Amino acid sequence: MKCQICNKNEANIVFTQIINNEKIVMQICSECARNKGLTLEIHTESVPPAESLVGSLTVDPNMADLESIPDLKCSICGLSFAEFKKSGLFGCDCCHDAFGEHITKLLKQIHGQNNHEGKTPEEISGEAEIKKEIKKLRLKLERYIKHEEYEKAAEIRDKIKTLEHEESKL
Amino acid sequence: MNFESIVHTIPMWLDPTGPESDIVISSRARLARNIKGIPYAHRASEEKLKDVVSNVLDAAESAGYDPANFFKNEDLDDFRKNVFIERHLISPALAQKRGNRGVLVKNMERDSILINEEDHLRLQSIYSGFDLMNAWENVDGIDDNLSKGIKFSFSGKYGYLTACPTNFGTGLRASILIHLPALVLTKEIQRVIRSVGQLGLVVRGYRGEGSDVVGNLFQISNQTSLGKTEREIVSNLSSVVNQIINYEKKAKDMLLKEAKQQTEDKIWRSLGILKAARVLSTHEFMNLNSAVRFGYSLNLLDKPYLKTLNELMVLVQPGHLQATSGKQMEPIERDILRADIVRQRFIDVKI
Repeated sequence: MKCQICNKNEANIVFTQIINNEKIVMQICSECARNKGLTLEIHTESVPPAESLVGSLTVDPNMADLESIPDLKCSICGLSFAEFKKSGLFGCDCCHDAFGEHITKLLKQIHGQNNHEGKTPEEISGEAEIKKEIKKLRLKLERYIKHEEYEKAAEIRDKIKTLEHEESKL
Repeated sequence: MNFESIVHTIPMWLDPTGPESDIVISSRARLARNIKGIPYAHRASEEKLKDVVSNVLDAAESAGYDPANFFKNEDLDDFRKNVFIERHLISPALAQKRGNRGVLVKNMERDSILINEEDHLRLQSIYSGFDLMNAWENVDGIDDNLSKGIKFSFSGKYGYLTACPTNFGTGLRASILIHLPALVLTKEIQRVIRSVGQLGLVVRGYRGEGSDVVGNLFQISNQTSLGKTEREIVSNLSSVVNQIINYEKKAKDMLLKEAKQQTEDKIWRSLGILKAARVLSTHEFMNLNSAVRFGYSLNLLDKPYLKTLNELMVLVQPGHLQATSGKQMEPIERDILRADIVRQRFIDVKI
């Protein structure tokens, strides 16, 4: 989580303030706390501040830290998942593919959703067609899973995979 | 365009001609984009970064930009970089980096393209007042033009691909810079900040990197960029801002009803200090500026002074003072020069 005052540094302090009997809780960073002269009312959490927000989201709280770092590497730029976890930044536009479902989950955590609904670059309308097709198939897939028709669902899943592969080559 | 002409030009967004200009200073839309197949800026070789710069400049030239208005990071010294930061043209993060990076500007700084910061491109449009939809439509058009010359990293599922997953999807960050003195004075601001946070928006201080809220100025922007259309993101933010403007107006009416004399006293005293001070820190100036700006929205001041207040917010920042006087200055020297400039600008105001 980023500091709610500067929105830049990682929040490592929980700042609780009581105004007119109302409790206000903010996550802030130590720099903002210092600037605000807040030294008495704060207690520091044991979150390592250097750890990036994005990276920390990729840790499964139910697993030990070491086990939860998947041994994955982007074959294009060589960025490892551990490096991504540390910096919160991808190395190239293929890393998200290499890290697969971890990224799908992460995007859901960050954005609440993980499917693009916005604009498509004009020059890749071919890609847009494929995108539409994939979207249709995904809806179908969800339906089949809901009705427990797993064989049909598997078929659709394979179709989606083929299309996604085609798309990534464009 | 050389650096001197930048310093002496007033950015278009500081001219308070946009809607609700007394409350909303500016509306900004920025799009994060990357070039397909090139490692992101933090992992790319200088050679690759140089390719990015020339690819972007070529595409931008076809889209109506003048490559002569590209300011390369390594050609700027520290206080020149500060001038760009103070004009919201580059980020402090970019200022710290070396090499093939920089900013291309157009239309009196209304439009700019940041090259090789966290992403290969950050397209930005800043409009005066509360005008988010136009700012976004404008930057959207620039994006369309650039996409004729640049193949952007894009996935059908995740949209535009960016170095940080927080920008995936539309790559859009829409934000407004808003002045909320009445909500601060009536202590309603915390409540507003909290509810805005619950709506998936972020509130922060005057400049993104600034840790402190200065001069009752707040930046409000969208937090998520994936899973919604650009238009949805912009209209969500716009409707929340509309609501906040209404709250601010209500708080203003309450102040006038309950504490008219005290409020006007605060404004006139602030104007008195601006007209008389011999030493003025940035922080003090920003707070006095806020009080006087509030005086404008209470009809105590004429319109031209709103423009003056806007301009001074940028022109008396430390980087600008040093760039215009062409030398490194001690803080006390800057505070004296700042007071001189401000006194001069308010010389005709009767109090």
